[in-house]
Amino acid sequence: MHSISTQKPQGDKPVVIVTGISSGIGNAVGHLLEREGWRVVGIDLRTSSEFQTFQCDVSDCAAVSAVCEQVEAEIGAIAAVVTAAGFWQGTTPFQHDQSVWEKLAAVHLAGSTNFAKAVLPAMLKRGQGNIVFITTDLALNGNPDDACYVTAKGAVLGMMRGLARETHSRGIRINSVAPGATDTAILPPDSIWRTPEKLTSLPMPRLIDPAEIGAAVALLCDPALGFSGQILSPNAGQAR
Amino acid sequence: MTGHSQNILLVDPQSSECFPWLPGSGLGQIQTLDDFNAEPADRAFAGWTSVIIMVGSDASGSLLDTPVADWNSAVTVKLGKVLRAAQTAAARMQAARGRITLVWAEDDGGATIRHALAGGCTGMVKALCLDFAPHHIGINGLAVDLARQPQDRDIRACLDLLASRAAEGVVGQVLQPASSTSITGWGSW
Repeated sequence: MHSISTQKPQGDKPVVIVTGISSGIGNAVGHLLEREGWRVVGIDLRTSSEFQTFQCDVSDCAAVSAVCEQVEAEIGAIAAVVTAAGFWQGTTPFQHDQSVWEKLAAVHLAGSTNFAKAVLPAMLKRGQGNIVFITTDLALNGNPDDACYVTAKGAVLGMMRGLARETHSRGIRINSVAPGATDTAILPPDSIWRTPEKLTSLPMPRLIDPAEIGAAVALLCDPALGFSGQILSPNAGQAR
Repeated sequence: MTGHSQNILLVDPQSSECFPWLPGSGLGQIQTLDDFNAEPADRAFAGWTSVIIMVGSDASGSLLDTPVADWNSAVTVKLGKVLRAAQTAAARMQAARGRITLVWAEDDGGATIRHALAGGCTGMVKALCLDFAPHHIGINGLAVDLARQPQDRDIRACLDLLASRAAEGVVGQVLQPASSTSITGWGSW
C-alpha cells in the first residue's frame, strides 16, 4: 500500500474529512487513510461506530460550513477532504423526472461543492490542501437508464477540473477517483453488474473492491505527489 | 456539407453566446423555441428531425467567488432544463429517427458554472446516447472552446454533420472544433 509522506510531528496526524463514511466506498477510504497515518473524521447522515463522525447532510451548505468550522476548531486544520457520500437512482430515458434529477444533483454536485467551498479558504491561506471527489467511470463512458446520475457526476468532474486549474499554483491539489462498478451495497444483488455476462465483458472480469478505491484516494492524497486536475479510474480495465 | 435538408428546432437561441449567426445560417429549415422548459415546448418537439439545444451559461463566477448555493442552483437548474429538453425531444422524435445536438462553451477559466455545465453535458451525452441509439435517435455534443476562438465555418461544419441524419451512426460523440489535446480541452472525453 501507498504510504503518505507528510512530515508531521509524531502524534499530530493530518486531518482528513471523509463523507459517506458509514458504508461502501467512504468506509473503505476511511480505513485505508487511517492505516496510512491520517486522522480520519467522518461525515454522514448516520453515526459510524468505527470513526469519529459528525452527522451532517452534505447537500446543506450551511450545515457543511458549520461542521467544517467545528472540525477545524476542535480537531485541527483540515488537510484533505474526500467526498464519497452518494446514492444511486436510475433514469427513465424518455421521461424526465425533475425530482430524481434534483435529488441526485443535491447529493453529488452540491455535496461536493459545499465541501470545496467550506475548506478551500483556509487551505489557500495555508498554501496546502487536498480534495478528492469520488465520481464515477460512467461519467466518462456513459450508462443506459442512468442519465441523471451520470450528468450530476459529470458536472462534478467539470467543476473539479476548473477548480484544479484555479488553485494548483497556490499549493492545492484537486482530483477525482472515478470508479468502475464497485462491490458495494449501491449495486443490489440483482444488479446487471453482478451477472456473469456483464462481468465477463470486462477486461478484468470482476467488480472493483472498495479497498482499491481507497488505495487510489490515498495515492492522490499524498502531498508529495504533483497530481492535480486528474481523473483516476479503477475500472477493471474498461478502455475509453 | 450534407445538403441542408433537415428541419431543425433550435432551442434557447438567446443563450447562443458562441454563434449568434446560427438562426440565419442556412444550415436547414430552422425554427426557434425560446423557453424550453415551458409545457408548450414539449408539444413543439414533435415532428422535428433535428433539435439543437444551446446550453448557455448565464453566470460566469467561479465557485470561489460566488455564494455556493447560487452556484449550485445555477448549474442544477440549467442541466435539469437541458436534460428535460433532450429527453422530451427524444420521446417526441422516435418515429422520425431524429438527431439531438447539445452545444456548450468551454474556456480556460476556473471553477465556473460553464465548466460544470460542460462536464454535465458530456456525461449526459454519453449516457443518453446509450438510451436513444437503439431507437435510432442520435445525441451528440459540440463543445466550443472559446479560448481557441474556432472559426464559424468550423462550428457550422460540425453542426451540419451532427444535426443531419446522414451521420446516423455518429452517436455519443463530443466534437470540439479547433481543438487538440491540451489542458484547455477535455482531451480523452
